[in-house]
Amino acid sequence: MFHPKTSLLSDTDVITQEEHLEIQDSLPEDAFFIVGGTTNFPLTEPVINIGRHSENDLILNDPHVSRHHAQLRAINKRYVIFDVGSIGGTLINGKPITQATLFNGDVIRLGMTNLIYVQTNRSTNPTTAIPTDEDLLDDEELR
Amino acid sequence: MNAIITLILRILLVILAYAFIGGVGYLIYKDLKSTVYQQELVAIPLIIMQVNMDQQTITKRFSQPEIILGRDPSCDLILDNSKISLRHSRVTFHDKHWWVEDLDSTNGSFLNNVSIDTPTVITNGDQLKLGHVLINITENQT
Repeated sequence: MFHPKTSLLSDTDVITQEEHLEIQDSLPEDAFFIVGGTTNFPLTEPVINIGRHSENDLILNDPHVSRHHAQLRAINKRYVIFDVGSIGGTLINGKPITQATLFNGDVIRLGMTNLIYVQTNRSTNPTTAIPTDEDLLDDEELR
Repeated sequence: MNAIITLILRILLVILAYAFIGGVGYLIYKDLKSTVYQQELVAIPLIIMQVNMDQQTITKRFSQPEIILGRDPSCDLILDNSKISLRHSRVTFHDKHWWVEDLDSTNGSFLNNVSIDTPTVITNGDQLKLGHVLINITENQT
């Protein structure tokens, strides 16, 4: 075990709360998962753990899902999924990945469970082309 | 009397046989585990930390599986700043990713300005903030 030499090193100076005001919101707005085609799981945290273990934020009761299967992180108003050493792997639209940025309509497969990623807000990504009528129709179908 | 001794010997033989099978199984398991561990050791990608402290930038490269960040001289990355805890945060490589976790530091650890409450995967371009120290993360993907 580690024993800090407190006699040699001074205590840590505390930063007051006011100094942490610059926290920016990197969460995508209105993003959610459709779990197994039935239930919606809103994505409102900057870090979301997915797996079979009860510690996870999104618990999947599927024997093919690892206890700690994947982690989601909000980076620059986009969710990024990381496979965290699961046995069955994580597939996005059928392709196995270790790390991937999620886009609206992506299908994530963990074990035998399908998650559909929905992010309806278009203004979050200014680089996307102007939506065509077809895209808008697709969007309405999803709603 | 002879029959009892024979029975005991037979039972002993069965126990020995099962113990042997069990032992072989255990050895195979241990061997497999150590191979997997060695593979993981080889596969650790380089992590580059660009530390911005007191208007100075220092670049550090790490390839060991565990890096402790803090003010204590025993840390792997020593951040000599009064707002940094002795052992502030830990960066580890496991399950194919680099992870960061806060070690109950006084002022907390922040990843892209979001407080770290759970071990979190870090990726290229992330920025860690411990106290007023900024650390830019670059991963060498191999």
